[in-house]
Amino acid sequence: MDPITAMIGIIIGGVIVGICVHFIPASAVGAMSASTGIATGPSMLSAGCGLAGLYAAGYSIKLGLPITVVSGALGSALMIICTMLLANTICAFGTGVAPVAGTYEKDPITGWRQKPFMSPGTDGHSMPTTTALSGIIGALLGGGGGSLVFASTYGMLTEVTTIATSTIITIAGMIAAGVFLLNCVLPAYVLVGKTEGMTDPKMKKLPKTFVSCLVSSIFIGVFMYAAVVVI
Amino acid sequence: MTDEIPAEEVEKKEIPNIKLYIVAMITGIIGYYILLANPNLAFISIILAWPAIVAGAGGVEHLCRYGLGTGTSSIGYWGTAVGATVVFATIFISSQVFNLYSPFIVIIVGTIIGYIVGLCAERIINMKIPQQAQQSFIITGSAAIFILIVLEVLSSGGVATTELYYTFPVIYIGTALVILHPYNGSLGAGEKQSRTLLLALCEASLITTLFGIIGVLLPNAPFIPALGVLIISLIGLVVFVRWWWKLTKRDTYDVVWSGYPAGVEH
Repeated sequence: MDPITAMIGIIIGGVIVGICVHFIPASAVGAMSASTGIATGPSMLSAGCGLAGLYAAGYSIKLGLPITVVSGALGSALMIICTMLLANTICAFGTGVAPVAGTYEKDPITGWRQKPFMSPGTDGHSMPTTTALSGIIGALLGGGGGSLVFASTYGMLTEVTTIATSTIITIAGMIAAGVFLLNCVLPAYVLVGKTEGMTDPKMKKLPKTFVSCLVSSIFIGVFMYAAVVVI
Repeated sequence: MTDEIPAEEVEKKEIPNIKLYIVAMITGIIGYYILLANPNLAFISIILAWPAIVAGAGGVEHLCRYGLGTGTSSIGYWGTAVGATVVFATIFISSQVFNLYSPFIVIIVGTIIGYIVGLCAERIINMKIPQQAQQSFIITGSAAIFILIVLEVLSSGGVATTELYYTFPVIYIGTALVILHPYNGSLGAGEKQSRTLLLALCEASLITTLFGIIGVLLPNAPFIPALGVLIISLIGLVVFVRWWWKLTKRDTYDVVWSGYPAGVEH
């Protein structure tokens, strides 16, 4: 891969990673079934699904950029689907609460009413259909973005250096994980620890995330290019 | 009963993190050059790398005291992600070998990226945390110089061995944990900078003990420097844990009247 293209890939991947965090339903108080979302901070959950995507992408790195990106996105989505399924199962059969969201009256996809099933004093619990779909979209974006950073770094290093392939995969994976963690913490500042996914009013703050992640990704991308190619 | 200390007095007693950072950078650079001059003196370099973890933990403490909106773990992973990415990319500057300029490159680039991201959080996202940009670059710069020294110890001049690349995840996650955990482990009522930073020293020596073991066991890694690191880290761990335990007992008594009674041998 041409180093300039790879640098642009790192920047675009970083921005997509930042955007993905807005879509993944996560909430720390979800641990007490007090709000909709998986029971952990948004950034850590996104990092978890992104790293799962990187593992998936690592196995298909030699098959070309599109397959790597799709593989990473699917690996990430699979991880989040399993997490949401288990979280919903635990809430339904363990805690005894139905999956409901606090931000809409009726589920836009199924049309099911939400408010009557919400426990008093809570903002919802676990993941109803639209929120779950939002999580899958977020994971596809996050896995795809992370894999794009991974494949771009791999492409840049194979083009410029003569290191063994297995070594390049290791170091590209570490750099991709670094860029992922860098970009998924900034949206967490915007979300203040809780989001319901694409139906959450905090989606309006997406431009702030976009600009912040773009600026930080440009710096990382340019430094990568400078370190590997220029100097 | 508990002696209430005014908030201003507590603030006054605390060491500013920027001072800790400057000390960490100076000791880090000296430690790196000692290592370049003679790899067998790695045990001195690793002692000089510990202040970086203290400064990083100080940065996490400052930021997380204000209720960040994300977890303490997230900010620790974020800071180390920047530091580690900068160090890993610096490897390629001069054919997979760190050179005379490497510490300056990692400190400057780590500091700039940390500052820019902190500035984005301050200006674009409008976080209301004082000195956020400054504290952000303290975490990233500290992580960068610490990882640089650890990698230089394990590689002893060249990082081209594939086995060493396999240790990157351990170095990365280990450093993230020791930067984020001191505050996470000490937070709550009566959290004091002295105890948090001393816990950071305990954890810094603990993680360098692990890196010493890795260096001893790793094929192609220099045995004598790694052994030196292992021994000095173990000594450091014992000394710091004893010191930290004393402070813990002192603070336990201070917080509520439930600890050891004052003036009684214990």
